[in-house]
Amino acid sequence: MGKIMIVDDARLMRNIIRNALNENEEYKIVEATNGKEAVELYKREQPDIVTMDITMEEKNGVEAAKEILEYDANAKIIMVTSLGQEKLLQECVEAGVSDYIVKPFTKERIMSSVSNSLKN
Amino acid sequence: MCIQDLDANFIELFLDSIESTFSKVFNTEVTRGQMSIWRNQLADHDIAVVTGIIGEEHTGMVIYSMKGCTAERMIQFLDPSLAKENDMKMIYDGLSEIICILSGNAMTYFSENEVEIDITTPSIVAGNAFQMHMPNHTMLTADLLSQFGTMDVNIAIKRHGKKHKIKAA
Repeated sequence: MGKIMIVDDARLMRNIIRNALNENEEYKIVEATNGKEAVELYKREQPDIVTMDITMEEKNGVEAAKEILEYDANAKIIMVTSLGQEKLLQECVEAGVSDYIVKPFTKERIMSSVSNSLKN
Repeated sequence: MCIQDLDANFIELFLDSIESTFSKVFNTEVTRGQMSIWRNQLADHDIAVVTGIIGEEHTGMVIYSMKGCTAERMIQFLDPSLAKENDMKMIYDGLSEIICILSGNAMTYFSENEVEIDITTPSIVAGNAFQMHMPNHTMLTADLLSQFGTMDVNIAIKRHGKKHKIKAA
């Protein structure tokens, strides 16, 4: 059973992602509501995959992803982004995130991204 | 600002984008009702989501307004557990997220048409019988009808540059 950390400041998005992931597979899910919390929780929980929203208060997803990758170069991070954030996304890709998903996304898209990241 | 100042092609393109993204988010059909001139009143709606538009050539604002029950149905569709809590703050947070998605897609839609705009993060105004007055804006209102109810998209856009001309959709 994989462990997934969902990072998003909007509870609606966290629930949508969690419900999509748990529809066909049993994942252990942990959640963080901002980038600062995400970095701390990553170190404590060591999840297999992180889904990370880009725009958040406290510390945004770009900074958090970079910090997590500095701590663990093998971290698998899937950025969750809205259109219009291409520059920030480019920064994340250059930093080494595994994949990205653009909102609005389908359940199938998030499920396949997580499943592919777990396999690689 | 008078009605002649409104950029009709911009508004058309904006509404196309909103309709298309709304359909994708909710996997449902949306019908556009008649357009009308906004008279500083939000029908009998009790939620308004306000965003600003800032661009090299365009400035303005978009106000999405709807009844509370329409917003609740939208959020319930995406996440039944949130709506069951009957916590309006959760509904507003969810609604704000949806409008961010609509805005992001609109920005990209315009960028593909060689018009760069930024849309500010949404602010939500909610309550019973409030009125909004925009003394310097003439707004056009388009009703978007879906299974959740009616969402009005109230748009005031002024074009102040002449670098690009938006092609009619």
